[in-house]
Amino acid sequence: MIDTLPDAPNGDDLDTFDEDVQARLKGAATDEELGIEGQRLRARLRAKMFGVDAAPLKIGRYAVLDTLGRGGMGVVYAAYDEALDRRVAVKLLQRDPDTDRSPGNDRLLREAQALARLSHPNVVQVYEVGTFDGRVFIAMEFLPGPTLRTWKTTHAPKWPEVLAKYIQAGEGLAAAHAHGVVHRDVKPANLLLGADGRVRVVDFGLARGIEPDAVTPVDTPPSAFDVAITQTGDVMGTPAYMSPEQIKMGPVDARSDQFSFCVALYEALFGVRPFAGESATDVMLAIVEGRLREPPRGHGVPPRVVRALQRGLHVRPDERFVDMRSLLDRLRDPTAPRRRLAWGVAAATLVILVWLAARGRGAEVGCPTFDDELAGIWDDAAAQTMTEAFTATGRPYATTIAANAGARLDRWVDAWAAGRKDVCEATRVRSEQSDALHDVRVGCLLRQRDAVARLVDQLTRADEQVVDHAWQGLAELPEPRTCVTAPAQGPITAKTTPVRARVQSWVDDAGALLFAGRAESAERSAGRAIEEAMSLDAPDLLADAYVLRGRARTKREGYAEAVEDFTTAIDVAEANRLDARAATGWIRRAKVHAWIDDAELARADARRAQAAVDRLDTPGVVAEELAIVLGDVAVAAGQGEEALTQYERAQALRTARVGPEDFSQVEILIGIGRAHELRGDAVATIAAYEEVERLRGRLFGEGHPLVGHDQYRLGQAHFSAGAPERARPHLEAAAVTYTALGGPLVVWAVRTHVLLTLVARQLGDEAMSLRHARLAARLAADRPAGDVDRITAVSLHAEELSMQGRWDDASVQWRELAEVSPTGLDASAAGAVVLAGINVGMAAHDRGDEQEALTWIERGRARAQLIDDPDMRAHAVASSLQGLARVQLALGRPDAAATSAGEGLAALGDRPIDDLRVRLWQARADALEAVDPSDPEVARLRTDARAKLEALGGVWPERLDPDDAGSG
Amino acid sequence: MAAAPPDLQLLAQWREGDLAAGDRLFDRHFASIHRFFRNKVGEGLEDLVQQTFMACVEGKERFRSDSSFRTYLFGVAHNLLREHYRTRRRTAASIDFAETSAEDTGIGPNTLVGKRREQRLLLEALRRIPIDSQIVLELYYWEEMSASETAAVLGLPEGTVRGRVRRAKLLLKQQLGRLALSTEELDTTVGGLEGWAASLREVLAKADDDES
Repeated sequence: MIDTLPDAPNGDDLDTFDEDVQARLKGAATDEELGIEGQRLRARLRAKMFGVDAAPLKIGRYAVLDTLGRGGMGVVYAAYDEALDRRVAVKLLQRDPDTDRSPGNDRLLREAQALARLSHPNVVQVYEVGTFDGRVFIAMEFLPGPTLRTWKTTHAPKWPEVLAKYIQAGEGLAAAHAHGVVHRDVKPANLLLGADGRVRVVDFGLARGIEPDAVTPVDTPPSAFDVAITQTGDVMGTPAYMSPEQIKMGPVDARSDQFSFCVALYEALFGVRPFAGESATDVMLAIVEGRLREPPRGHGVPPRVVRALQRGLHVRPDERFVDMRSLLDRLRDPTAPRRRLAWGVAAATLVILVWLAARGRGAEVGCPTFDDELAGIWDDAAAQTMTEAFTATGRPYATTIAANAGARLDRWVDAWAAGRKDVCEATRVRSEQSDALHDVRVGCLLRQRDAVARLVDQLTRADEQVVDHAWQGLAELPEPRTCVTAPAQGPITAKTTPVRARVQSWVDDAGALLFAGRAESAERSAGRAIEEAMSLDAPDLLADAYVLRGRARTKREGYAEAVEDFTTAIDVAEANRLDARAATGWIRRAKVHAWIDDAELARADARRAQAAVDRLDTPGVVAEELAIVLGDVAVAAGQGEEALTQYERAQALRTARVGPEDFSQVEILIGIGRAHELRGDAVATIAAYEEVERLRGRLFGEGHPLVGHDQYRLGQAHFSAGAPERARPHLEAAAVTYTALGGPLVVWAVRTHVLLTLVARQLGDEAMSLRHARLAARLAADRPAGDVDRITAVSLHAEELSMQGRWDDASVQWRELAEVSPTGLDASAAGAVVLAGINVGMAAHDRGDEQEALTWIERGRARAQLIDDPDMRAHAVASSLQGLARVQLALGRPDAAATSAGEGLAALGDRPIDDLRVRLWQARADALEAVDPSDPEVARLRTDARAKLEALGGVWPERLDPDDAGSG
Repeated sequence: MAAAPPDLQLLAQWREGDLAAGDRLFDRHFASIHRFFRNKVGEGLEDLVQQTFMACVEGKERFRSDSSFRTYLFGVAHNLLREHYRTRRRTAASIDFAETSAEDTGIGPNTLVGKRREQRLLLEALRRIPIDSQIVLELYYWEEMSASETAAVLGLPEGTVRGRVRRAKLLLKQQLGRLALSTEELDTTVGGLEGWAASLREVLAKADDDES
């Protein structure tokens, strides 16, 4: 491919050429141009060759600001999360090739991930656990301190205040234990007090390895005390706070944390440690032998607290409290008002309220626990079976979802039991409810129980589909509370007959199948329920069945049929004054109409839904659903502000019911993100999508298709906001997820690689853009030839190849596209397939094969007429004429070339396709010049072309006669 | 060309086992060596950079006292690059550096970082001329080496280098002209990508709605 040398230009030419090249290269050789990859490579090599562990510039998406501390486990950096504009602490764990694959390391990672899914006011928030450069990093809330120890010395608080702070810390530990995370190094230095007065427990499960402190301030040598322990080798934790089992290196569980916590609290309350000794060894001996010191006199701390501490400090774990919760209950002043209500789930609140009420009125009278009524519905055995079934699917996120599902069902069972007890007591203890109403409400609860039993049945026989859909069903568990307040009138008063029970079971089946993602079976079950309910006077069941079938049909995209079902449900409900069901029907209908972008119908439906909801005494969840659908309607109509108002209302209602961290918040957050997109607020859009990613990541862990969508959405938001470098990691993560899952998600992988190609172009990274374009095209190869995604991917790949001068390779791709008919394709795809053929011609022209070029270009010109979109048609026609002009010039027919270029300009009209217009001007100028060099139009066209090109940010090419460049 | 004592001093210290000195020397020259390989090889960039520095400290290549450390370093890099290409093409006939370009070797550039269009074109043009010419020009333009320094790197007589620089410039100019012209001629931009991205956003929203 080496050309024959043309006659050498004279020396002057080469001198100006030198200047030009040097000007162009300015910047290409600077350190900035080293790029992140280059800088990483430098850091990697320095580490390899010189053992230099330089602070990385960035860890994941976090820009490193400063080194906070170093310890046995690694380094902690202060960093800045650009995406969320906040400071974070990032702990980068040391790379140790020997232990990288050790079970301990895996456990560490697992626990950190568990912690990342835990959100509790008294536990440091872990934002992300990831790997950077082969090392594990943990990004978490940045907490400047002070530690509880410092606070104690500087504030000299009285004992009740100290106790209150430690109880907060204990709540944090209890929450972590509930997530299977044991701290292993509880001590005052790991309990931080925030500016808001909240205590946070930090450094969970990470304080392992040689040095006792995971974080020792830089340049501060460890104290002699710590050094003494360091010599003991593998023992973890700080000796004064270590449990006997830790010292003896026995098995460590949550009760070990309880012990350490009690040591710290003891010390904080009494000013001395519970186990005394002259040296570290003495202290450890005292701990192991259980030589507990009596508290000093005159401390004023109630005996209740002292006794609780003594029990928590017992040498044998079995003698301590069973868990932190029991210890905390004992530490709290029983006469003070409970404050646990601030956190947790509504159901838990209910349990406590019921418990308090029962206590106040003497719970001995009246109602049993009703445990037997729940027997076999959801218990340890069911949980075990479910977890096994989930794990057996091999889905990477199955265990996480199983754990979440289990917790959800635990809470539901608690709420149900509480509701059941409350209903009982309302009659028997408080005498405020008639026996008849009692029976109605109990009937309602038993129905809910049976419905949940079916869901559990699906869960314990889970396959991939169930695993993938379970989270939705769990978000929709029936609320026992609605039964507790159910009115005497209404469908639930209906008398149960054997036929009715059978219909009911069909309806429940349909619900459970829908929950399990088995839309087709759900549709069949609902259909049977409808058939039977028609011949029965059971409008409530009929309406329910229609709604369920409509939902099943929505899932398989049978929108028109779904609308029919919802309409029938509404008719039945309204004729029988079933307001809640009517509201649900309208909401569902509005939702479908919003999805299929029929804003007008959706709006009308939503208005009717509003009216129906207004008639309800206790709208509950329906009010949230209404607000969401009103938001959807506004989005469909392109009204960002209105959508935002509605979604935020839904968010407020839902937060009041289930708290901000519940995963049912995800659908609202996605809506909020879309509303912000419509409003053009990129920052808020990204913030909403970040939140979606965080919540859903916590629910699913990694690798779930929806988490892929979350990443894609974030990447696209960053890209739209003009931040390609931030879009990149999200899109890369999405691509990984989609590719790993395969199947129907491959098309999303294609789309992600296309977007990554565009990202790479903005980043100026040609190797990256070519790579992603190639991947997109390869993944799209299995799709049908006329598929828009395939056309997009292949044309992008060809474009990338041509940009790198690889004409032959590009032509292969273009030829493939040129086989596709543009008829019926949307504008961009139709344009792509026609332009592809023209480009094949242009590549032939570049090789000097003018006859072949002519064939392709004429064909392109004809095919251009098949494009529906007038703008794209004009573009394609003008392109073919531009190519034709070039070929005619090469064939020595400048007259014809000038005419072709002129026709091209006429076809273009005043459409804003300026780069093509410039090329047409150039072609016409070259043609006219060949006919008559003195033609005044030549200079005019060149001036115009140059001005336009420079306005577009292009560079006027040094004009070279193509023949000078030699033949390829 | 004056020898640069600090470089040579650091090299001596590194050879004695002083890693800090080695680190300083590495940091000083990393960018140049990285640049040298980056536009010529795909896989193996990291190894080549490391091998270049390690070869210096291990003294595998003889150090000529009349040259600077930098020319010595580039000389080592140049030999390693030739070796690299030879290994890759072991089965094929021996590769002729005078006739084959980085583009011809079929090795994609690891990173072409030029952000502006004209920069990209130049980098691309450099990749499309014979490797010998590419190297000569990069040493000339990027590293601003004189003909005698370049001669030391390549182990050639100075006169030969001067002739090669001139020929390389002509080749580059030619390639640049061709590239500029051909990219101007093409209408590859479909123009619908933004719209495509926007339409996908809707598809995505529905995919998600469908799940919730």
